Amino acid sequence: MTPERWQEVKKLLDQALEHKPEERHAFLDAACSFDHALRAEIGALLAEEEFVNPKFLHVPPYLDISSEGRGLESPLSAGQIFAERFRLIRKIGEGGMGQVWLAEQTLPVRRTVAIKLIRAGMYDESVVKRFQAERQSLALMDHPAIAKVFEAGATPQGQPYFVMEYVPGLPITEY
Amino acid sequence: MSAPSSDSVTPLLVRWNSGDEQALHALVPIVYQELRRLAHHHLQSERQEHTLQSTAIVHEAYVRLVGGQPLEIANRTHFFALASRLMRQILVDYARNRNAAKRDGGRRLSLSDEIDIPMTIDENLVVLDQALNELACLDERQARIVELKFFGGLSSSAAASEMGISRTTVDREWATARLWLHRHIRTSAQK
Repeated sequence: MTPERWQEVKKLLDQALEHKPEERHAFLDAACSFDHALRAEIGALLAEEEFVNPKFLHVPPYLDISSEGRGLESPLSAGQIFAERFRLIRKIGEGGMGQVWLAEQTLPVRRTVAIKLIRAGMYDESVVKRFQAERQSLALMDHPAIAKVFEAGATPQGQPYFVMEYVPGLPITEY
Repeated sequence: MSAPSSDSVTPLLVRWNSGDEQALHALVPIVYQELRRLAHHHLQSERQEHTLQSTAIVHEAYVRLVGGQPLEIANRTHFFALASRLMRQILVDYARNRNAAKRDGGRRLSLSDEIDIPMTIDENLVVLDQALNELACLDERQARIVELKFFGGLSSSAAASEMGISRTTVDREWATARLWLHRHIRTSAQK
């Protein structure tokens, strides 16, 4: 359709909508008596009303973040190999930012670690920078009670993650 | 990093409105960053409903960036027009990324299955964005009204004053645009 044609269609469609539903067809028959294609075009758009959910475009768009995996790039499961050298054991935490998994690192050393993953859609420059800052400050704090950060990286799909020392213990609320 | 404030945004809006294109170049990243920041902030906070209303974000960005500063209507127009467009971009990018992630996970959803549910699902947002681009080729003004009302959350009267046309015109343009968009999306999905 050309913009000029749409203006024509729109004008008559708009006028038809002003009429009561039962009068619309008669109005169009009269208005488009010389142009059957125009009549058909407007008729199809009027008929569209029956398909339109009342919420269509009336409910503002929102992001649904309740889906499986809580927005992680792909849902993770125990036993899965992550970033080629970590075998996921179990999920030990989940929050607004993402998930924390207990994992066994296989290369270059074998050890138990905690992997922190940032939820998809949440990472842009600023989130990555904040993680880098977190990594810096944790690396500076060499204390037996504070988990060390071994490395920070991103999967080929761009999912940022942190590998941290796993510090088993009771949640602070149960201490 | 200091947050952008009404001290920096308001003069830019005024300059842009008087035809200074440089001001627009300075403005876009500030507004974009603020919208993204607010979106992320809301996504991060654990909320019951797990949803994020884009229109609330546009208004919050306005209050935060322009705040209590008195601003001529023409300048407000520009802010909302700009924010609606950026919000559309942010949401559609987000939806595209999620769709790609879902495809990688083998959980692809069929478009025709979803078509008569409200425009709140990621897949539909991408489809709507394309349909809106096509409407813009036919009728720029109608596409802009949809952008302001749907992505910017403006009421008909707000959109009318933002665009300098009557509320009646907005409502009429909206009604025909809505039918065109719905038909376009539905018939494209069937092909």
